[in-house]
Amino acid sequence: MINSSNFKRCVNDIKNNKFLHAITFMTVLLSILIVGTFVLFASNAGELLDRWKSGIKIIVYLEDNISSSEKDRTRLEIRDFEEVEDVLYVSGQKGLEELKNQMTRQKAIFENLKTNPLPDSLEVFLKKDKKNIESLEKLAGKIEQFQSVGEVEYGKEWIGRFVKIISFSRLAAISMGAVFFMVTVFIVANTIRLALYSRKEEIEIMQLVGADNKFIRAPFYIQGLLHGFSGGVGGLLLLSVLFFIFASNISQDFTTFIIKIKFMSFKSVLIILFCSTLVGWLGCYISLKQFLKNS
Amino acid sequence: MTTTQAQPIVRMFNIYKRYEQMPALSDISIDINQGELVFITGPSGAGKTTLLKLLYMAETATAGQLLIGGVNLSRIKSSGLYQLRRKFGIIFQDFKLIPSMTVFENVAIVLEAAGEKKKIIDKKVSKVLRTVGIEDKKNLYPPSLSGGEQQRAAVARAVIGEPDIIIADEPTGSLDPESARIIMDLLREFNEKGTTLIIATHSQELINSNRGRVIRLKKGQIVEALI
Repeated sequence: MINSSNFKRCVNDIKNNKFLHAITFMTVLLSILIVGTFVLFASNAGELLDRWKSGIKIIVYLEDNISSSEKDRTRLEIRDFEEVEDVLYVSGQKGLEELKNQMTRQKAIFENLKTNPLPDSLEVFLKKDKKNIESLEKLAGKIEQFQSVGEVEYGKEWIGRFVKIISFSRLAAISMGAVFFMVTVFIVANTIRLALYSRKEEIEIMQLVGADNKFIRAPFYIQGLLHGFSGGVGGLLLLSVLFFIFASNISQDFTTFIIKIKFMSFKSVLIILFCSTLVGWLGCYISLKQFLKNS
Repeated sequence: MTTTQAQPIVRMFNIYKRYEQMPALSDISIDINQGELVFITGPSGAGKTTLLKLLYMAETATAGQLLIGGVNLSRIKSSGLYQLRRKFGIIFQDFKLIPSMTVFENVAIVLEAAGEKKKIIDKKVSKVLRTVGIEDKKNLYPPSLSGGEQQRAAVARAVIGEPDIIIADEPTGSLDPESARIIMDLLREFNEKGTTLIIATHSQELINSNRGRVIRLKKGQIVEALI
């Protein structure tokens, strides 16, 4: 299909209709930029969720006035629950030291403490297949029933909110992707249709001198594929530039202790490029089918 | 005109063509043999161009049967028409050269569409442009050529694919006598080599200066058929 004659005819048409082709290129580019932004957000949020899931745990604060044997019995009983992988005992003293290490900038607060406010605690780690919000809530409910347990903490509210945000962003990425896919197909189809009508007489002449539909279609398919691919590359390049500007400003202040935000994977880049090229091809296919049917 | 009497390459049986309610052709039956020179003549509006359009399948008949090389046109799909059209070389009254392509490209497109190799295309196009006398204009675009030069380019495009039939609609209509003579000499040369030549013209002078069959139309009907 892509021989020098077809490619030349395609380039000539782009030269003759620069504005029209520039608009199509920009449409594909902007669509990829918007969809890519959602993909980036969803993939980073997804990674954050995965990372949180890998370190998921319940902190069980024990009552102050219980004996060592009671603490040990509580630990063993919790360990016997089906959701639990392991239970670690953390004394109040050790807990305070860990807190100090985590909050080095607020060291002064700890220096002024006369007594350790932290009780002894148990860190409960869940089994791999139980690391989800339902198992977490169920287990926390069971642990709360223990007389020896003062408080159970696992960030119920923010976990729920975070899961919702991630689910929403994933849904938004898919919905936006679908909407922009259709819009872009429509715009590419329209551009090709206009190009076809501007060359109606030329196409009729070609048909009369014995050109088959394959020969007539070829340069338009090249155009469609070029629109899709170049728009995709342009959109991803612009997205990567904007991402690195954003990431270099935000990483140091905000995200380093939570997650290092990353650009999308090479596989995602390839999928987006494939989809944008498919958009170009599909727009072309729709227009040509309709036009050559009527001509 | 060659005298070989083979099977007719074109057969028309009771062809009718109407545009809405206006009859353009009525009850046309013609056989044209391979290698024949046929003039279709008549006054303006007689149906000459319509008859040619039916032949090269730019139009379809309202009624009747049309066979080209034994193939009934009513029985082939529109997607398969290109194969039959490759049997034709068409010279249009208004030349129909593609303005955004050079003379070379306009002629080469016939071979490109047929899937010919670039090397062969270059060779054949240069040869045919030399034959019609416009090789030096090959890189020019049609709008920058004179009427005679455009007509020669149209002739070159019509003959490059070595067609079985050349259909020419008023091939000398807009030309000066000298250009007209050159074009006709060229066409006759192909006819003498065995290509069927069907010319629509209202020029009695052109008919008189060439030996061929004359089919005279008036108001869409054959009123005279002379050999």
